[in-house]
Amino acid sequence: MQNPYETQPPRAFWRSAVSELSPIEMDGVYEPRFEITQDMRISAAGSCFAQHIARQFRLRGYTFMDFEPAPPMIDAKMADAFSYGHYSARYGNIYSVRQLVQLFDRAEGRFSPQDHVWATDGRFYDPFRPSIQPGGFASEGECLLELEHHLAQVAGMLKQTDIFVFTFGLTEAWENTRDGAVLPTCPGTIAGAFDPDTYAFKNFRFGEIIEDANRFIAYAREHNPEMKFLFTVSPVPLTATATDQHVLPATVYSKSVLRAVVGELMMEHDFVDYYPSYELVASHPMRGVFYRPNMRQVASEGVARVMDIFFRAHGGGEAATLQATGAPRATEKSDVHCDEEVLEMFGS
Amino acid sequence: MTLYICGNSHARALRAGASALEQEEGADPMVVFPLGTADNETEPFSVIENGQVVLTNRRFRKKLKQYFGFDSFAPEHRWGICLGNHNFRIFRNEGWVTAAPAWMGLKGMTPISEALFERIVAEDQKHIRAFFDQLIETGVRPFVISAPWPLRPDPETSGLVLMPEVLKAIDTRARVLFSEWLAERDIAIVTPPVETADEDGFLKPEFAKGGDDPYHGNPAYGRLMMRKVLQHEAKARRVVNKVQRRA
Repeated sequence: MQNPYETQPPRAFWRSAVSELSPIEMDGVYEPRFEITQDMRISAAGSCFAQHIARQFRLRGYTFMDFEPAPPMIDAKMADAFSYGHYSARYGNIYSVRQLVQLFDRAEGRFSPQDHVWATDGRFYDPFRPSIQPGGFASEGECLLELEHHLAQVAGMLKQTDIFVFTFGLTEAWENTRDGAVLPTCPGTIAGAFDPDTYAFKNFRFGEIIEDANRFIAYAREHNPEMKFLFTVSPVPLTATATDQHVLPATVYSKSVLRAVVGELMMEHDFVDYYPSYELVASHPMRGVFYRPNMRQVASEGVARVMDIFFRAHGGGEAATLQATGAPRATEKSDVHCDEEVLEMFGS
Repeated sequence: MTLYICGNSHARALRAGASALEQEEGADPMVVFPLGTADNETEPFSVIENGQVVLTNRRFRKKLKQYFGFDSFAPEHRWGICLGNHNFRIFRNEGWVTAAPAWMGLKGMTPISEALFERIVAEDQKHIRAFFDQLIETGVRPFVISAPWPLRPDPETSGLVLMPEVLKAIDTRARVLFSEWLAERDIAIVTPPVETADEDGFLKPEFAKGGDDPYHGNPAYGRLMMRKVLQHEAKARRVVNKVQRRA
């Protein structure tokens, strides 16, 4: 009788799968749990790394859904500046599943947060997507009209989605303690004002995230009972932590919890798949080669590799050229829009 | 001092109007010619060479030489430039059927915020604005002659399918933005005569070129507009003379 390890393929052994290969030779890291075909309707949300994924689905001819497309009278550059086309609607970065759940709760009228509009220096900001409009809105009315339009688009999203892609970004968030609304950024950073009586730091724990994720899954499958979920964990470390820890262990906590959550969800549901973009960029066998020199932003080479492996595994699409990834090379400025990068300004 | 007026195809009506005024009232000498259609403004059409603005657009350059006798814009000449406020380029986009300026507050339409609209206008005018900046940089002090008011949209003749009130909101705001941009540079603009507009601000049919032309004024419009241009010029000269006398 053979023991179970004797029938395991080479990819199951560290020596043959990792030690004896360079990071770019590593193969079989991802085996899709279900097929993703070009006619499936794909929607995406998540942290800024999800923008790369969304862009690649679009570039490679998949049916990437955009429920809030850029108005046709603006060009691609303007659309990008005003946060159109980054995800499947103009919701900006969604770093936590709680924020995702609350977005759909708001869209369907189940939740009306106290934070409606932030006024800063005569301009007006949506607290839940403070950077979608460079310089903010001209008036409170304009901000609210845009919000109403946005939520109407989001409301129709799930029933027209076959695959929902979500990139888990952070465990750290800011919450309005009066109603539990979770914000993508700390008030007083991009916009708004920080009030310690209203806002509190929240570092989500494993159980909370699992609960939120399962709530979202159940809710999404109410709209489309066949919906499948592709989850990833962003390999982008925290720009800054609000804990009393060093940013490195704070990052490792955050990513570890998120990775464990996705592992748990995958074990729990056969319609959930995990794509290991985190491992392909951030794990130690990669030796950090896919990061830019700041060891935070992912270089175009890293994005290209992550995307190539994904699409090769799904048997479709052309290879991601460095240009097509849209990610910056080692010396370029970041091209994806990341709200949390504003925290750099507050560091010494 | 001869007044030179050039610009896009809207200068045709001005030319007709100038001829009429010269014959009827013996107006001061002026040279008025269009350089080409407004399509030429969608690409860069001018640069500074040897300290003066030259036109890089072949058609524009040829017409400048042919009708005005110049290769460039010299600071000693007085120029009226009929460029800008040709907002047809902006509102002809079919996207305006489902989108509307946010300040109109229309429910069910994709709102276009003021900031985004400012970018749309700036993008549309970027080569015109570059041209004016070049003129100023080289010492030319031009004034601007606006395009006429927009015509009420008629899907059959203009192909415009947007709501008239949306068109008007777009055009009005775009004109304000352009005027503000010019004011920052101390460039005067002569706006269309109010009597050529109907109660909703559209160009009256009797001042439109007619037929299936979706935006040009006719000679009657040109005559009224040129009268306003000459009044502006006379006033500007009085101011200059006063300043010179004081000096």
